[in-house]
Amino acid sequence: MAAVSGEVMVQRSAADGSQNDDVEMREVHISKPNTVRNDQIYIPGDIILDNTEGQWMDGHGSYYSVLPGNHSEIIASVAGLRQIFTRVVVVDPLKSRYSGEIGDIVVGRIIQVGRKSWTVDVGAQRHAVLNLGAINLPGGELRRKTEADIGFMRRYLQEGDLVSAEVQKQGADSQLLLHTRSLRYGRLVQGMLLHVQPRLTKRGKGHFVSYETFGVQLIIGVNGAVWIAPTQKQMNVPLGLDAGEQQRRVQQEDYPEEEEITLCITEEDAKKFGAKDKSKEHTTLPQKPAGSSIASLEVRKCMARIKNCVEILNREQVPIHRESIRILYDASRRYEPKELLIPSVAKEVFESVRQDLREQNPTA
Amino acid sequence: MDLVSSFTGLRLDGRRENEIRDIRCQFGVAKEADGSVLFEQGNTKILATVYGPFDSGDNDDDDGDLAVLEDPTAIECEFKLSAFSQQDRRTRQGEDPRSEEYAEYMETCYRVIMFPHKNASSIVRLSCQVLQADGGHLAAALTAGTLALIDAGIPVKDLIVGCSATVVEGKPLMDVSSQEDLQRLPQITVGVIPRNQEIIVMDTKNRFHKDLLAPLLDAAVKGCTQTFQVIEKIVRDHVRKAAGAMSS
Amino acid sequence: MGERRSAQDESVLQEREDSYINASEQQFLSEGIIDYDFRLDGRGPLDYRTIHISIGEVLSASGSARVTLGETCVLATVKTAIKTPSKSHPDFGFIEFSIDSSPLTSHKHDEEEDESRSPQEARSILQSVYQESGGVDRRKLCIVKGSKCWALFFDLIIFEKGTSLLDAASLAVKAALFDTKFANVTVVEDELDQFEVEFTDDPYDYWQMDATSVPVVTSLHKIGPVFLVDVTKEEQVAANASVVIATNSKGTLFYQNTDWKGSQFGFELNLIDEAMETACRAAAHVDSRLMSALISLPPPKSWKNTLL
Repeated sequence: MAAVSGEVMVQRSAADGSQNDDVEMREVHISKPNTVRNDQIYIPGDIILDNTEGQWMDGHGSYYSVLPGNHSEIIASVAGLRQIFTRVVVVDPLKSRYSGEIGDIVVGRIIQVGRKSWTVDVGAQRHAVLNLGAINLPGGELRRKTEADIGFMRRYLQEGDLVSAEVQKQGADSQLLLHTRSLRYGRLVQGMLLHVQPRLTKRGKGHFVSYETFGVQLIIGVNGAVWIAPTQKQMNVPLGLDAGEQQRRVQQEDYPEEEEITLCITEEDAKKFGAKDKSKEHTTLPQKPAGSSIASLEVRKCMARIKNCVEILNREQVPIHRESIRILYDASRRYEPKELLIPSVAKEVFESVRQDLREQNPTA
Repeated sequence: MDLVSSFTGLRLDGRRENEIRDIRCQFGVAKEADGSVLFEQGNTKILATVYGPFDSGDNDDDDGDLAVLEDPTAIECEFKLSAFSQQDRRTRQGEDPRSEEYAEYMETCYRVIMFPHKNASSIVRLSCQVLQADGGHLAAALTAGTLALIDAGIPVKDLIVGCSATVVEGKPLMDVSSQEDLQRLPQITVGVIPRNQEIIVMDTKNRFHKDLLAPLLDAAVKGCTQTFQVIEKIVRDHVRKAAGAMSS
Repeated sequence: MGERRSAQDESVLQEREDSYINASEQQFLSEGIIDYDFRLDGRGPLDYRTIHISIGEVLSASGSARVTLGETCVLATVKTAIKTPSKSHPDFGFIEFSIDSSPLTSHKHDEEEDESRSPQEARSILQSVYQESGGVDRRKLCIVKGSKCWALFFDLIIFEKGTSLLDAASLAVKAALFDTKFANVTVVEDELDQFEVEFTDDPYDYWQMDATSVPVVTSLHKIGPVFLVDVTKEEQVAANASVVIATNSKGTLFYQNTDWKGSQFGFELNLIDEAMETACRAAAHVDSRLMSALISLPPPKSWKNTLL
């Protein structure tokens, strides 16, 4: 009979009301020597630069203020670290919603299916839009684009589906338009999704990450959504992130020549929505062989470990990418994945590689 | 009961006339909120939470509340006194008649410092709940709300802080505690942008002669300056700690 | 396995990005649990995440406790007052609950999909467990039979509403009760045979109730044939049934509720036995850990609210 486990930690608040201890409780918070320069820190209302010459532009987190006598300044509007680019001043707040730039790789969830577009929640101020015209359809389907209706749309993506996509452009009112016009993008199945702070998943060091030895793949969305799934080789059913990989797999198993496919459609879906049996054109896939599983226990352990490591990086405000995950992962090996949930264990593991992580992530 | 000892010149809690109470903050206590702060000024404890900006769902097709659509800096504020926050438990919470007034003061203040939303139907919701009521509630709520907005990363032009003041035997006292509130003395609370000393809102309590207004205002505004210096440091330290984890 | 909503039922997904998972995610999650007893974060079915409790934060209350269990965070405060007992129970005191969940929970207008998790339902369950079913011995609250008694007002605030709300709330109630300081009183009888209660002047002259037998609530959720404690939001969505019990260290059952969410599999009779047994074990584990941690705390300072 399995034992129940789990600890209860109780503390009494100081009678004078000081609750600094509570901070320890809620976050793995370690006080350490400060290494951020004072002149990098700005709070709303702070003057960043004099802009009378007009050479600066106010980027995110700052604004432009004109004073009498043609004197103007760039002023901070959030609390965070200042960054200066060639002509733009930016203040990076500690916490904010994803705002979106063209070219960002994002992971989002379909909220609504329309006649010619899907509404996608990517955690931004407004929902993003994926137009029917912005996805790749198998050749046979292109003809039907003009007859699009909601039933047709649902064959590809339904409410609740997860997709990986790229930001194509910003429309009016800052609404993001997405596309999946590449083999890298598409519907995500059989894995798990995490949410972290978007400021830790900025564009840069590789967003499609594959840890071959663990049998685990990740997509690190710039919008702070992290998708973790087994790699193709570990799975018996070729559902997964990388449609290009699926394509190769499909061809290896003697399926007919197929138009470039981006979206993964299962046989189950096709049947559900009454798709015609165009087995020569559709990606009908074999049923999961009886007795097999999506992911073995070993792979699941790796995924759990990665999940818990990503959560630690998120709490500790460390940028999340291939290297930082790997560093923390290696350091965590002496513990079971579930032990990383215990605050004291997480703290110990993190401290052991704090220096290495810092070297990986110099700030501007 | 003498609020200011004629012997020591100190107030009941040991402060001088021109001293505000100790301020402490914890950021991000309500993880589901976009921004939150547990704010303490002396024994007054307030939880401020912010959601947004988010799509209020009103779009052009809606017969929605047009006031929301047309107001580009839409912010809705709420002020609540918890039932357990005071000595006597209040049996009907949230029906404090001043709660709505305080909420409006807050909205007025934050509208001044917020920028127009990118999207006309976006809205920000800010709520202040008093967990422990030891005086200076509106003042503390104004300051706490600003901190919650900052925690949420919502851009603002500057900071708003609040402070209260009262006057005893001609002596103005800044940052009024509940003990000092008992005697129906003239009281004032201001919401201020400290950097340029702009007073955005002013609330008065109990009647008093107009000659007292100037010293009361002066004390309250000076109290705001002190408050600002404290929270300025708190916010900078918070940024330093959070961002400094990974800088080289 | 959880059933997928049919596409025709809703054309717009409820906007709860962090608590909705689709059929494929559910399948992945469920398979790990059913085949390997392995949850997404590596826990086994009966592994709790570390529970954090902070006592005595609210100075204006006679007792308080803030509990963090998973993503749920609840503050319970206790205020004491002297009241006249009811005629039907002259030797009993009163216990009353209120729960405040606004504005600390999701701003998105919640259409509660599951009534048993809404705060008002939670309030009435707590009321039932601690007051009506005798979870707290109300005779201990009697001062003068028929004339004076203590009344306890529990005010709960939900800081974060994750899963297992009742579990967290009950732990907060129990811990807050443990922390509650009752001023010692003297009863004075006046010439009209009326009793008056006088509070002691000494701020350190208080008594506290023994909270050992006070019940705690434990929720289990079922995925396949496996029962889980301390579920995440995703697991709660994927679960096809739940069991909630309130029990104490003596094994007394104060409340139970099994809900099989309308799935066609129903709830086989033998599974109910197993569920109850597992829930009792989980409750016993948490309860004993809680009590041993509480007992080892330094005592509170005074019964007087330091505000006035």
